[in-house]
Amino acid sequence: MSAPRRGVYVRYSLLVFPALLLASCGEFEPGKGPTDEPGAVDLAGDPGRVTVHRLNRAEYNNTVRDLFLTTQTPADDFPFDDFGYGFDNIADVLSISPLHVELYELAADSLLDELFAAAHPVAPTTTRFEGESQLSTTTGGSSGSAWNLWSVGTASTDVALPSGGHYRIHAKLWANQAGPELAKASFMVDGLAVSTVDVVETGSPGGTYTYELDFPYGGTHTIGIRFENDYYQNGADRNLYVDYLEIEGPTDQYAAQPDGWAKIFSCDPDSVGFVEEDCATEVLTRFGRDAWRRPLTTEEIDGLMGLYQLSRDSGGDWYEGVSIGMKAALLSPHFVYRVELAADPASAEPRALNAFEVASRLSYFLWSSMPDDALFARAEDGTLLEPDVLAAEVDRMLADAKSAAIVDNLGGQWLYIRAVDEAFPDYAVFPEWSEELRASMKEEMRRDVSDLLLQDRSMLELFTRQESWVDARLAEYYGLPAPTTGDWELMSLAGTDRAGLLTTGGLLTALSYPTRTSPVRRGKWILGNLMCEAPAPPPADVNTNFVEEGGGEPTSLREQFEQHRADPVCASCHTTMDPIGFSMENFDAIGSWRDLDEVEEPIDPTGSLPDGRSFDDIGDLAAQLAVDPKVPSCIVQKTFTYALGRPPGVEDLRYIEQIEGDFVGSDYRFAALARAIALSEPFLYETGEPAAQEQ
Amino acid sequence: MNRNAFSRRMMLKSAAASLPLPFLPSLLPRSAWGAPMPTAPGRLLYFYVPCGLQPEEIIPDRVGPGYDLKLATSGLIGVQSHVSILSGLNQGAGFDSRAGDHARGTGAFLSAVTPKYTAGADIECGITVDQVAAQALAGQTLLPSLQLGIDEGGTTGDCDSGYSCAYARNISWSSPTTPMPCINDPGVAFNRMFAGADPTLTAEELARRTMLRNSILDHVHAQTTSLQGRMGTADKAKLDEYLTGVRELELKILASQTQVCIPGDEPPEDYDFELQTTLMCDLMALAFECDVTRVISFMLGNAGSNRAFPNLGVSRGHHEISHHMDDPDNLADLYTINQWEIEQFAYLVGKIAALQEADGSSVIDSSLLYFSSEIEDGNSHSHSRIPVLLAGGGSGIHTPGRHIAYENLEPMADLFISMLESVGVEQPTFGEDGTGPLGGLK
Repeated sequence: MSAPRRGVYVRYSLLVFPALLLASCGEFEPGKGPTDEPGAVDLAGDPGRVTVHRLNRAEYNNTVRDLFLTTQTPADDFPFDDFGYGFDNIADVLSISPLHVELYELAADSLLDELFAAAHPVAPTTTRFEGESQLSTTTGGSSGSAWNLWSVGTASTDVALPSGGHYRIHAKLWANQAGPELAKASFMVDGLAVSTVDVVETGSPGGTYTYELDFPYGGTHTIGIRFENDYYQNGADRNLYVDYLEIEGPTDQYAAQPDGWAKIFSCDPDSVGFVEEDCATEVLTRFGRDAWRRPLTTEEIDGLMGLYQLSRDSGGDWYEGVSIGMKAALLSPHFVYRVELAADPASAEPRALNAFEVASRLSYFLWSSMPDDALFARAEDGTLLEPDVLAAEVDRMLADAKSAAIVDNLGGQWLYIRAVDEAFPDYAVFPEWSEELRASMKEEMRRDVSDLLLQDRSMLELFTRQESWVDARLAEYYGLPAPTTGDWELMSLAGTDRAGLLTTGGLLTALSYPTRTSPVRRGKWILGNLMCEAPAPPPADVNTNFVEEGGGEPTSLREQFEQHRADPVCASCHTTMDPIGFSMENFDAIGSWRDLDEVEEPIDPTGSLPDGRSFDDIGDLAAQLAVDPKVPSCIVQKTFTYALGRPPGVEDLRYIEQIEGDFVGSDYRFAALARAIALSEPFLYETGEPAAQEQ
Repeated sequence: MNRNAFSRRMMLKSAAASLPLPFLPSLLPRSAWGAPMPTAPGRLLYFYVPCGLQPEEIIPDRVGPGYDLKLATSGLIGVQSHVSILSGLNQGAGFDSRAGDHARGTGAFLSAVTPKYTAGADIECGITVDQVAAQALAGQTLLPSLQLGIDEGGTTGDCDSGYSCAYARNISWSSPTTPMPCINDPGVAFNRMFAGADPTLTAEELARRTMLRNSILDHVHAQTTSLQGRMGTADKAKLDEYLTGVRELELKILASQTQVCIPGDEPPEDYDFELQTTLMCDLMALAFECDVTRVISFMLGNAGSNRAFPNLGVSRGHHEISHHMDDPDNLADLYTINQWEIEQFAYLVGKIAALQEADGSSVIDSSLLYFSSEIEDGNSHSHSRIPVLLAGGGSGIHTPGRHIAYENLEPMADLFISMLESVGVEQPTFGEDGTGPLGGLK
């Protein structure tokens, strides 16, 4: 199973000498094996082709997270991703509906609204207090729609301000004028007269008098109007009427700059001496590079700046202009899809992907997201195409927290972590089932798979590992000692009936029906997902329902399943699936240990594998699977499918074998597998589509 | 639901809150502004429920008007005059000798075409009746059609015995290879219908923003086309999907210029299954009221749904009990589920019957609302004699309130041809076995 080393060397040398590859193009014949002529420069085979890849929901969310440093997850609202070959990132299968495009626009608006909220003052609020009913007064009386201060005194109110800042106090006033001077009104703030005005109006609706001030802090303040110069002589009466008081503000408050602000606005449009257009160009060039995951051409920058200019010319400010350019970048096919362009798309000659294309392949493989600055830097100087650098980047990226994506997406689908959410145990049959238990089971799988993929461990431990992550709930459920910290703890399973992923409550539940276990589902899953020998779906003309419901007198599930073997058509697959599934019968439909099945019959977990090897129970079976050569091969196939977003074809078998050689040679380390895939020809090269395929 | 989406929904809320009217009355059709009163536009709605309908508690004993209500149809009592029950129709395209009746029956549900047996990228079904109507009526409303659903659907495993999930999770196909995904979140559906309808903008500012939106899409359109010129066949085909979406969005923006219906409160962000269903029914009625679209499809669950209904006292999964083996407990649960499903439909019929056209007639008179499932009886998984509830007058093609019994396995596809006729779309044949309008509807 070991890979031919020479082939690997040839591949590496090609990376370093792309010019040599160009010179060799005429000699390449797709589909042919490697030539044995010494010094021949060609690929080991046909590296295949990945159709232009639409970002799936996880990829879209992670990409905008890294692009804007936002916590928004707009793709949660997108239609569910199309699904094929076990994964939701298969380029050929992922499609776009008109609904997607509408939601892309809403997502772009939402992301840009958040970013640009800090560019303009928050709209001030205005609160009005009616004089006749909402003010505290020291004198006077209500007069229809206003308060009549008929002697020296104050009409005031407490206001609760959300923050300090600039405010305006508006007072609607008029007066009965009498005596030698106009009525005088003072604006009162926190008990002090801050400004006094002459009120000239003599009746409703009066005039609006405004006082502006800065409150140093928010909270409760008192604002009011004081009548200063009462006058009464010979029936001539001076009174002040307060229709209402308003407070408007704050008028100078900005939303806090979001985290992405500093990253995106590399120049400051508010600073002295900045040239608006230059700064817009700089920001859009950088944003475009990040969003499209490659440098923009001059023409492309001009295109975005044209939209900027259109906004400015129609009266938009600098920020709007830039946001319009950004929105176009987010709605561009270069953002929505991972575009890899060959000079000649119809050429069947393999083409080496450029460093930016490789950076994207790598980041979507390991992070389900866009490249970070460090990866962009390696792409920019071209060093990413050097095998050592590429391998080092794989290690760096796996060590980064963003590699959680490979647990959630590769592990989530291949190892069925996500499927735990889709199990619906029947509460009537399993009263101990709860959503909290589901969450704990899922988290256990996530942590165990994270260890498998991201720690320096043999992936074969997925069958044999004698420890698992548990919280207090799971510890009790599994009959383990309670974690001492109260948090998640890695606990030894020694002495229990559990080991590895196959006996986690989550997987056992996900592979059951609501009321009972399903040996068929369990057996089929192990065959298909861990040995890559998925049985064919039931053939035509077969009633697959007879085991769904017992009917008649209850018999043990195993007896019912004997019907599978009675019919030769069924037996061809079920003699393989059923025994594997029955090895797990000691675990019920929510993963609890049991000795008797649904009809109180003793469990018989013994059985045999397709090749005739027999096993005593699930522990014995798992130990045999751990040394089954089909398993590492299957791990490679699944990871290859996920990494490239396409299923392996016949032409890939040589690559799969080589990758498997590296994987086995590393003692089954996922990092070695990821490096081997990243350095493989299907990952670094692509073939065009021959024009003959044109329809 | 995306709980972190920024500001758009807040904006909508404040915009709606600032309006004096909670709802505008039913709108004049757009074309009618300043024009003579038109006839009411036809509308079509397709309501899908999974896992079959038990005929023995749905199909009345009596034929004709004033049919008898059974256990599962008891919820029709207030709207019976609007609803006919059609028995004996045949969905021939659902049949095949292999397993996978749920996905296959759902693929055939509105297409009357047997979906291609595949779980891969080469899905192929048929254009569905709602989409034939949508394409013919495009441009008259903001959205040519609206697809709503309840279940997100699983991400793991085969959908149904080797049939693609595309068949199990969609009932609308705009071409034989293009399923139209459902919106499952009421808030997203609301946004799709009403986002951007900001009544606080001046006409001038609205025009400026629309100009910028269109310019962005022009830019994207040109960029996509130019990109296609540098791509191979498969990549080009993928970007064709994108171009179609961009063009549809351009049409939507165009139609939105005259969109004047302002909705009431947006749907809540938190809901359980029952409330989600009610909200979706409300949104469907609102879509007709505001003339956002005239073609809707709704999936009250995905094909072969195994949802439990604890609210109804049904703790086991729907699909599991639908293989009822004539067990009385199973049947009782199925009747309970069917009854609840038909109650939801009745609620929707009631809401639409309460909507008035500009000329004072009820919207239900010019609409046809179709209710059915991907199979007949859950145990047999048959595609013959699937019960159908048909509500509304269809602008005169249907006299509702009757039990119409078909005796000769008349094709469901013929009913679809009649439904298209009700919205003015002539279709001589449809699907695999539709050859002309269905008799007996008037």
